Amino acid sequence: MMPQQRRRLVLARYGLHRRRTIHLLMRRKMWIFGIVVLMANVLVAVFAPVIATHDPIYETHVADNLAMPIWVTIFPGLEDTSRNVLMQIGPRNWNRVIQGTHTDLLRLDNVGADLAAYYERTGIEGNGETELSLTYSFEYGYAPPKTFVALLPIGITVSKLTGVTYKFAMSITRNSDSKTFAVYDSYPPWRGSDFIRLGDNRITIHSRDPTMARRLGISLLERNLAEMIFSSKTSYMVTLTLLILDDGVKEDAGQMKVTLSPVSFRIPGKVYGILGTNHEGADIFSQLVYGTRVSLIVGILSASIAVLVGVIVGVMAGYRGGLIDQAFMFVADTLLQTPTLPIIILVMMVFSRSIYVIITILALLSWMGLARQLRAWVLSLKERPFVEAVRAAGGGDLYIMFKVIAPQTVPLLTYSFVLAIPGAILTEAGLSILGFGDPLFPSWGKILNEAYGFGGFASLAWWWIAPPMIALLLLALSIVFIGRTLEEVLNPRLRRR
Amino acid sequence: MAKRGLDRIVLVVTVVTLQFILIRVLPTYVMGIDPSRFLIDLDAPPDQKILLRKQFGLDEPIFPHQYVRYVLNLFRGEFGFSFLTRQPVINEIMERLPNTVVLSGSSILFDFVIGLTLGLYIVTKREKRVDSLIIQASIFSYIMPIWLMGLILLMFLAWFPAVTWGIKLFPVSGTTSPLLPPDPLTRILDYLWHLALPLTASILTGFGARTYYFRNLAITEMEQDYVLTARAKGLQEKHIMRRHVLRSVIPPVVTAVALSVPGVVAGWIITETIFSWFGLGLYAFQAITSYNYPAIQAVLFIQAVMTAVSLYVADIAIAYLDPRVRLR
Repeated sequence: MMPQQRRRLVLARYGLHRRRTIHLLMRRKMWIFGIVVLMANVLVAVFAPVIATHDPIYETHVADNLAMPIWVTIFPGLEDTSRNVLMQIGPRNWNRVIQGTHTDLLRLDNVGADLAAYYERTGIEGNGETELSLTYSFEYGYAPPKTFVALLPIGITVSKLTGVTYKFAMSITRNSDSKTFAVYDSYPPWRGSDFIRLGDNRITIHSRDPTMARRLGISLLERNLAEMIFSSKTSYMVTLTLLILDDGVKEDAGQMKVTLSPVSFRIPGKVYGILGTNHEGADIFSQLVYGTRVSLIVGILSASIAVLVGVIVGVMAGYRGGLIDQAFMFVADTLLQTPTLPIIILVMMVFSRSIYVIITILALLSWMGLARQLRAWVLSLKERPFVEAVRAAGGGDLYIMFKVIAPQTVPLLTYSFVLAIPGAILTEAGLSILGFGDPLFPSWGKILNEAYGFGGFASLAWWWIAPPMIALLLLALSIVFIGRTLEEVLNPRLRRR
Repeated sequence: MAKRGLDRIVLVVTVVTLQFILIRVLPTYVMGIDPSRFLIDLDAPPDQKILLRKQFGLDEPIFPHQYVRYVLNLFRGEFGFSFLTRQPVINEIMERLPNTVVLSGSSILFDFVIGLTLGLYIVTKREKRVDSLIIQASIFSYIMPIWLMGLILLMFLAWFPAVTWGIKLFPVSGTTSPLLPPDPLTRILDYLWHLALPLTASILTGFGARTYYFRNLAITEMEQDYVLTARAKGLQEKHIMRRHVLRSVIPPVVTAVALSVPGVVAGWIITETIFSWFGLGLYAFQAITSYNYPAIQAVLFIQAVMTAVSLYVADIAIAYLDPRVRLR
């Protein structure tokens, strides 16, 4: 038999004409809306790694925390909100100046991507000071940022040179009013003899560092350092200073080597990405994209398991009757009348918060309605002549139950399956809001949980709260629409009306 | 009547057994966690540990000794002492129970009234614009989970005015404000003010299912022959609605309300946690997350009992309202 013919026959069995069914389905706006939204969700879930710009769990601090979506800059008043500024300042970008008494001892060299400075002493020089200053100018054209970070990968190696002390400093100068802020200063000066800084040392300068604020004479509780420094749209100059103080000790020959890898200077923006960032600067868009996966997996898997259990229980209870029927229906009634949510939370507390535990427990607590409906249906189906015919032809009980009777219930199964999905999705999200989500999967509920727990509401971070809510509602609504349409098409009782 | 009562008691015993297996048997015998670990200091000397275990009866065999004592204690209302506060659990529950009863009781009542009114109203307006509008609203309300509605209300009615304009329109959390004068009127108003948001959330998410169900019931009822007879007699539509249809719709409505109790009871946990409502749901959540065994047992037991009682009361009420139903 041709597949097409076969399909037509299957539909005919349920009293449907193929072309009429499709016509009925396409006529409904609800159905089209549902299918489009569901397909979009499935596509996003499948291509999540391609669509998402960041890893949803491990990549944090991609911008400032609570950064707004980048498209808010089209609104008046928000045009110049600070954006991400990232500068990699390599050896060729620095403007180098060597000053002082021993300028001839200091030699600069490019070693790969690093800048190396050698201070070589032969032992006959007198005392003096030498200063190497590296400057880099850049334009900053946005509103004052909330924070900035600089990473200075510097390595200093000193051999001998007992009478040499050195210090390292970084300052930022605002060119419009020539105000200089000393953001880093290695005080007290390092001494070559007692301290050797190895290559992998890295100085981190953060605008929320209280030591730096104290050096600049402000309190972080009252003022924001980054706002204070980058207060106007003008050009700024970063200056790194290496100051070498030579005591002029005789016979002290040796070498000091300073390596400076590319400095990264970063001003995290207050606007970022399509949907902004959360409390720890993670990209919300990526989390939202990956959350689709969790919702679809939880919804579809737990609905499938629930339908499977419901079919087995319902068909067996209806066909066999007697003690099996009573036992199954007792279990179903008990579960129907039990408050399920505390039990779910308890199970997750006892076992684990893994997504598979959530799926299983959701499925095991939601098969009862279908089982009851199926049982009632099977009770009448099993008295039909065709079942008797199969029995007379020698069909076994299992064959009759799952090959003869169960296929008759496919329409009911189809829309019960579809209508079971939104409940599972929304329950999973509700559990995640309580903090009972899988910590390794970014779900929409988890985004809301973080927003609820980490001040998304108090700071009115709509870009953080609204997207997961809208996504959840849209998905649930689309699946309910699909289920309702299927029910109307497949359920003869509803169709007649 | 007696059989129904027995059924309900069996339900409670089943739930109690389930929770016993979940929190006593599974952790100890499958996961290898000793429940006394959460109560007894890990550094306590071994002889003290043995003494404490003996005192709490943890050295007895789990079945039947521990199980029977567990069930008997629950049914006698001896819930033990909270691991966290060392207070009797029954006292802590009694402090919170009124809040929960007020919240869930009023939400069930409002859902019922609104659902019945709207459902019967739109039956008289079939195929009109109001009909489809209310149907759409109720489908939306049916899909909307209560926590989502709660978060939306919190955002727009509590946080937004507070942050933007500095107006405390509705409280963000809690059941009562601190430092209230002892004037009863102020206290009641303050309580209602705190109740407003959680109650609104549960009504907005609960009325849809009721409306839809009651509408379908009434439509089926309107197609009955007696309605035709009443119309033929020349009775007014209003009269038919009130005297005939409403009366025959009431029993399934009562069943629906009784069957909605487990859902509402389960919903306590999320609603009360989101609104920090000082009730049993929040208590259950805190107890479960801190492994506070006596409290978990007590709350789950009370939830099961309340469900069973409401179903039993519904049975009696239906028998009283509908003479066709004979209780065995």
